Amino acid sequence: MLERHPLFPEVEPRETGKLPVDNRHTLYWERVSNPKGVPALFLHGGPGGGIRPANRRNYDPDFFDVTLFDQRGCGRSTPLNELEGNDTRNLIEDIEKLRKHLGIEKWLVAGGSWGSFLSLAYAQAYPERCLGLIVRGIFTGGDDEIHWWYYGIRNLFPEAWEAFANFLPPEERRDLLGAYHRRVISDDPKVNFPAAEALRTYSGWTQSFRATEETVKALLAPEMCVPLARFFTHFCVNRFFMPPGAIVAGMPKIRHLPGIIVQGR
Amino acid sequence: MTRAEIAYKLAKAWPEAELQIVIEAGHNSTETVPAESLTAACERMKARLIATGLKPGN
Repeated sequence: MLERHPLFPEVEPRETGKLPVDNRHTLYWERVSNPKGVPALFLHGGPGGGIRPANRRNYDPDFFDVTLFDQRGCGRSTPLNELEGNDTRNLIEDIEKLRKHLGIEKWLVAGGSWGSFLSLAYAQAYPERCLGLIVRGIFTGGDDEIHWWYYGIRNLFPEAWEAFANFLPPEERRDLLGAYHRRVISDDPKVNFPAAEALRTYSGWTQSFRATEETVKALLAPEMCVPLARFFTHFCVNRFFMPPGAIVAGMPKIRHLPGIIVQGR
Repeated sequence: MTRAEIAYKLAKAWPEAELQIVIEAGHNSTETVPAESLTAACERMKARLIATGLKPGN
């Protein structure tokens, strides 16, 4: 099995655009590589992330016609950081609106982390629109997976977790998600910023075994720190807007599609 | 960082899918290991799509 492949060369979009998807949200999208290629869609992580130039480079530029877009409220989509109307159902419908807008019949759908969840949720809603699925760093929205992020990771990163928990007064440490969510959605920067910084610092140290001061610091840019913490806790407190276990239970709808699951230990 | 157990459960519910567990993968799509693993997966998928008759220019 081919386990690793170098990224393809840097590529600029051959076409970009904006698509209004409702009376508030407009998506930024871009297309790269072969206009006559096999259609592929990349879904970024987060929730609250955005597409990066490197995300264009996973695909053979001669074979694929790749569409990337910033999910509502993210990246170059507008209004930036808007959580109103930001839920899984709307994100799925955004993908479908974009597909129709671009005149694509079917596409290969790929995503990592939150993008894996959204890929699976979209495919289960519109299986007839998917050529196949590639999902990496699997997240299926279960309560145990949310609990893992807020508590379980301490098994691997006790020092990062201790700082994350100890940011809060002892009586609030039994519900880290609730306590952080209350703070990051506050309108008061003296409340929201330190909490967002603590949450993002924890995220930074625990998303890789090779985090460094520099990689963590990069996540703490003041303009993105609070919005990303808000996005993440907004989706967590709402259980990612899906019934528990729905993604795994829905697999019979899409198991006929060609699929690849990539996961790190 | 997500758990291998979740991927394994997904694979059990999707036995037709190919499960690749890599020894170390950071979670960020722009880190080397996950980016190169995803690129390899795209190449394997390309081969499968070609086998079903899909190709550019159709």
